[in-house]
Amino acid sequence: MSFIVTNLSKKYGEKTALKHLDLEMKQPGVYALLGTNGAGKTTAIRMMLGMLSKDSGEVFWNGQPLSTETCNVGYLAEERGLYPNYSLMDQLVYFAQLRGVSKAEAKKRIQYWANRLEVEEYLHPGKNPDPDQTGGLRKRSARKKETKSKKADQLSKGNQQKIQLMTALISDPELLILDEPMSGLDPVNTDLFRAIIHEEIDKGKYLIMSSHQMATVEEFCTDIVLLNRSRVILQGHLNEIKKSYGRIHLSLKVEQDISANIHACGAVILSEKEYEYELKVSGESQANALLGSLIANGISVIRFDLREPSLHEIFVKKVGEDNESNET
Amino acid sequence: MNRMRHNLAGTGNVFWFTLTQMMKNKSNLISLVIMVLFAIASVPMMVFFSGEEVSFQEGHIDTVYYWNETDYPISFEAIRTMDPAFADLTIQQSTFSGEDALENGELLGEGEVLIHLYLDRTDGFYHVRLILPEMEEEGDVHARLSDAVSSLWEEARLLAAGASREQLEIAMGPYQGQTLTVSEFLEETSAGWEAQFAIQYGYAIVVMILLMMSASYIISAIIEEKASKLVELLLVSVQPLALVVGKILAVMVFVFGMLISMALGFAASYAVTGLFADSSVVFQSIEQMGLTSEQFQLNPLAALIAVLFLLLGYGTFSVIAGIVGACCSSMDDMESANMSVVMLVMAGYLAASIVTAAESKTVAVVTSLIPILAIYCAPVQYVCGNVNLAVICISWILQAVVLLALFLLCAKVYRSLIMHKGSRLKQKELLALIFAAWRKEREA
Repeated sequence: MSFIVTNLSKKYGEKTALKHLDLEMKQPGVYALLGTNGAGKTTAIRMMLGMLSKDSGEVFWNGQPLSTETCNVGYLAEERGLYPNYSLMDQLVYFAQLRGVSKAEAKKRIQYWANRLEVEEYLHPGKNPDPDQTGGLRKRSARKKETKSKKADQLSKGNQQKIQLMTALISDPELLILDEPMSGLDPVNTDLFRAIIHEEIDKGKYLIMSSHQMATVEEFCTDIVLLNRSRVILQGHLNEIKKSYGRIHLSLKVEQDISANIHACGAVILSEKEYEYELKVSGESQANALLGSLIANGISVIRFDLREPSLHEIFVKKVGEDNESNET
Repeated sequence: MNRMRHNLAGTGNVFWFTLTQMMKNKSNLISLVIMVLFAIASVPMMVFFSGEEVSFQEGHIDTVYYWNETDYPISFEAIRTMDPAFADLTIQQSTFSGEDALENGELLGEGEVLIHLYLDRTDGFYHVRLILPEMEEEGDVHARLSDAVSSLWEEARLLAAGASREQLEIAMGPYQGQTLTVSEFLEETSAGWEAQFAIQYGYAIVVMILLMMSASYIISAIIEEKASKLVELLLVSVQPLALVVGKILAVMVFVFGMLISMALGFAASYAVTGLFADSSVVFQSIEQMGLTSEQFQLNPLAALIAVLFLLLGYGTFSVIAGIVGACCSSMDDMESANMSVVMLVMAGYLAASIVTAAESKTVAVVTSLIPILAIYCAPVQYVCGNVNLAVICISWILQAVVLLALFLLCAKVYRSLIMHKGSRLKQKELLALIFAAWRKEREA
């Protein structure tokens, strides 16, 4: 299976929304769509899914144009919505049926995902109620009301997001597109979402993910494309991109002020807090020279961590460079 | 064809979901119940206000005593043949006078009546009196008995005067009184015009309610979906056209179902009221207005024509509602969106009000041909005999063409605007967008 996007472009009048986006996934994995706000990530996703007309470009799944007929797509949109006044159960069954899942199968899958995402109480409230707690003499209408599936507007934002993730996963999609999946989630639910995404990766799914949380992207993604001002400014395999930058970031923790040593060896201090330094070095030799000078001066080194730049750092650097070059 | 099938895939699911949610909506259910109750209540109300008192017919009159003080011999036995309700009556000459019956209520038991015929010599008037037992209320059956006896007495008078059977039939034949102005008398259109106006007006009100409700439901369903930011989620599974067509069909079934429920409620009420009262007054009232099958082409073809016009007209207005709904993205725009469709609905209604008043066959033909107006005017003008079947057929073709064009336009607009956010698009912007989409398609 393969997912290929070629030369995707879109203009609104004179304004370019996306220019020449290409991406290729020949094997399962996670491809990250990164970019500043308004860079064109969501536009790209909408064009891939055929929601927006393309000025140019093609999107293929297994060599065929991507459509509802050729590919089972699961999509968690950035703008999340549910019918506010309809029962959640009805909505989930409807979304599943639209994706070709039978009603009976949909109910089974809803049960599974409700359990997995810990939202069973909203879909099947009062299921198997304890007669001691519900009160045996309570009116049937009151009991019926308690066991009715909740409506979307009765749920918190986080729980609504879980329901929306269910709608994306309910058809067991081959291609899963997640636009900012973790935004607005508390740490507990973030971990739950991360675990589910890992499960989907392990199942061999193709994932396209857009996020501003670089740590999340770094955790899952194998490939990235970085957009700025509607253009691709960086693209490729994440590890190779990082490797190309070299090990130039040094985290250092000592027990006294070493500013003089740092300046002497030519490294740049990025930040400093209570003798914990974040330094930018030219390479391994400069870092080793600094370490040698510290040891020679009898300064005890508590932490010495030389690493490649993080995705966050690469992002900020690339976008900054691009903006500067545009301004000049 | 394949493209159309692809664009409409999932319409069934959208239809069922929309219909189910409409049926589950409490305010919709309350509206449905109120309308059905209104239909059910309408028959007894009409009977009540028409002056016909509700009374039991069975066993109300068992025995008829007659006391004929006139010089004309009357065969009271003939009463049995004059009304099915009188077939089993016991009819006998009274052994007591009317005054006796009045003074002593016990003389007349339950289900007994005394018929007293006499000549009041002070004023020279003959009187036909029906005397009931004390505490018994006059009902429909008593009025009919009184009419039957009056008729027999009239017949007896004519026979006594030497009238032959043929003369009797002529003299006793039915007649109808009428008051006309000179111009009405000359044109001989008075009753027809009033009836035409009544039928056109009544039908236009029903159509207006139907269209306003439908347009409002469709616009609200479309805007709700867009305002809830659900569209993106749905578009992964269905095409925009399937979304709008599913909704239009669901609203059509709901609204037409509402009308059918009202009609069934009316029919059931008519049948049940008929057990207790003379519910035929409902149709008698309609006939009194001049709405008779002799004057109008009230036949199955007319019903078929009306249904087809309703479907085509519904389609036209609902597709317009779909386009208007697609131009909005928040519930705040709902009122103004509704208003623009209401204006069109009202235009049709006003045209329907004017078409009969104009008393011109040309106006009738023109309004029957214009698509937006045809749903209001064409079926009624056909029934009234102002337009013929050829005009109806041309109107159908015109409506079908317009509906198809609007449908294709709706598909294009809905597809282009489904992701639209911001304030409602003005007509100028909408036209620009349509032309841009059309140009792009041509370039492609």
